[in-house]
Parts: sequence; C-alpha cells; structure tokens
Amino acid sequence: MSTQETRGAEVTFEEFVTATAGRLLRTAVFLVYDRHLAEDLLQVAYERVARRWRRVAEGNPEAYTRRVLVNLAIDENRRRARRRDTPVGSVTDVERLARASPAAGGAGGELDEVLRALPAKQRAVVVLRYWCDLSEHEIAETLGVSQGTVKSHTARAMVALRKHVREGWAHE
Amino acid sequence: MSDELEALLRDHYRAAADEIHAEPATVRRFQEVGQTTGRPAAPASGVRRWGLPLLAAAVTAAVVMAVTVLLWPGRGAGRQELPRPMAPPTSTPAPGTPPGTPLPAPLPSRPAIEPSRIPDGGTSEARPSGRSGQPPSGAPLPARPKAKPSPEPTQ
Repeated sequence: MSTQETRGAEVTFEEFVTATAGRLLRTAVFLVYDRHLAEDLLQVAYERVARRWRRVAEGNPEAYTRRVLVNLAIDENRRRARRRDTPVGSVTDVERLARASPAAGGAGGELDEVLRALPAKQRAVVVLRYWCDLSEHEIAETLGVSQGTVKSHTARAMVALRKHVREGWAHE
Repeated sequence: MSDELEALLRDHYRAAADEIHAEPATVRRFQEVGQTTGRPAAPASGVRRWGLPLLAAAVTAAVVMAVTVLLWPGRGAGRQELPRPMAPPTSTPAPGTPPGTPLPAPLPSRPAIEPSRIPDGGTSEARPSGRSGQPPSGAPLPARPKAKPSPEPTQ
C-alpha cells in the first residue's frame, strides 16, 4: 500500500471515498477473507466516518477509517470464531484462494489458509504491518493496544507462519 | 529466515491485491451511504442515542431528590424537632429599670468622635450597632434614653 494516505482537510467525503475505497477494501478482504463481508464492514466504517466527517477530516480520515474497519473486522472474526459451524465466504473468495499466485516458493494458497487460521488480532497485526506498512506505534494506535502487545502478536503470528513455510519448503 | 518471511508476506499481499478492486457501483454505494445516513442524520442519531440515558438519569435524580427531602432529619412528616429551650428564664426586672437588656451607656465624647470615623454617605446604617450577636437590621433597638441604666449624676 504505497500510495500516500489521503488527508481530509480539503477533500469532501465523496472524494475521500473515491480515493480510499480500493485500498481499504483490500485491507478489509485481507482481514476477513470474505469479499461481501469486507464490503459490508467497509460500508459501516464509512458510515461512521461520514457522521463525524467534519471532525475527522481535520486529522487523518484514512487512518481513522482504517481503525474503525480493523476493529469491526476483529469483532466480526471473533463472532465467527464463536459459531464455527456457520459457513462463511463466497464462491469468488474460494476461487481466489484456490488460484492465488504461488508467491515466493509455492506457499500462496496455503499461506492464505494459514493467515486465515490466525487469531483475529494476530491477523490484523500482520495485515497492518505487511500490507499497510504501518509501524509498531501506528499499529498499536490503530488497535488500541500497547506496542508490547503488538510485538507479542507479531511474534506469535510469525512463529505460525514460519512453521508453515518451513513445512512447505520441506515438502518441495 | 525472518526477512524472507516478511518479503514473502509482502509479495503475497501485493499479488492478492491485484485481484481485488472496488467497482464503481461499490464506490457509489459507499458515497451514497455517506450522503443519506451521514451528516444530516447526525443530530437525530445523537438524540436517539443519548435520549434514553438522559431520561433515566433525570428520573433517577428526581427520585433521589424526593427521597432526600422526605427523609432529611427534621423535615419529614413523621419526625418532629426536638424541643429546644427558647431562651433563658427572664429575671424580674428591678423597679425603675426598663425591660429588655440595657445597652451600655455611651461615652459622653462618643458623638463627637463618631462622625469623624464614619465617612460622609458611608455605611454607618449598615454597620452593627455595637452589640455582638444582634442582627444589624433585625428587631428595632430600644430607644437610647430608655437604654441608659446609668444613674443621673447627682448634682
């Protein structure tokens, strides 16, 4: 996510949505692995931002929207984890996961599965760190936790991912 | 290993992001959500959100006030004030002395000094008359001539 974040001081809400919808939708999909749910969560996040637009626009509206979105996604992932028998995702998501490009050593689709299996906060930390390119401090602000908590979530997620990658390379 | 894994994750997200696009219809839906349920609805939403808690707080405060007023010691209908002595028993005044507590006799030189201490148009009326414990504008003081207990100098 190399594009510079949209500052809201001089833009209208509609312009802000146009500029950020793509980036935030991708973030939402990586967080919940469900395109339709991601759109719904992003819509809720935009609603909340629109209600406070005048105040939010003075700061960093994209960071605010991302914070709302990430917390909505974490809540949703927890809710889904509580009722695991409910089918989630759609055909398009499954197709996307199935034909995901095997990036860097044939770990593509399987890597998605491992990321999907991570606990909600660990997955959020990974997405914010490696997709949104946020620092530990920014991730801590986004999630409303301490930097130490961010470090521990990252470390645990990396242990799980490393194990998966080692196994993937061992099979080759 | 860690660097490789980080690079793997970044590549993975970048590759997956190429397949996720926000369609114009989706973007329009997001914009319309902002227009319809967004800014104009904010005050109504705030009223809806805070109306019930505010009402509950007002009712609670009213009940607490009513209970406090009813049960406050000495204010309730079932409670009566403890009897208190009204005043010390009055002694029989000596013949010739006026009733009530006599004021101390003013010094003869007092009228000459007092105007110089009180500025013109000052608040001499508002000041206490010299007796402690007597309200400044309370019950009228007894007349000065009556309040002079000092006997007339014998000539």
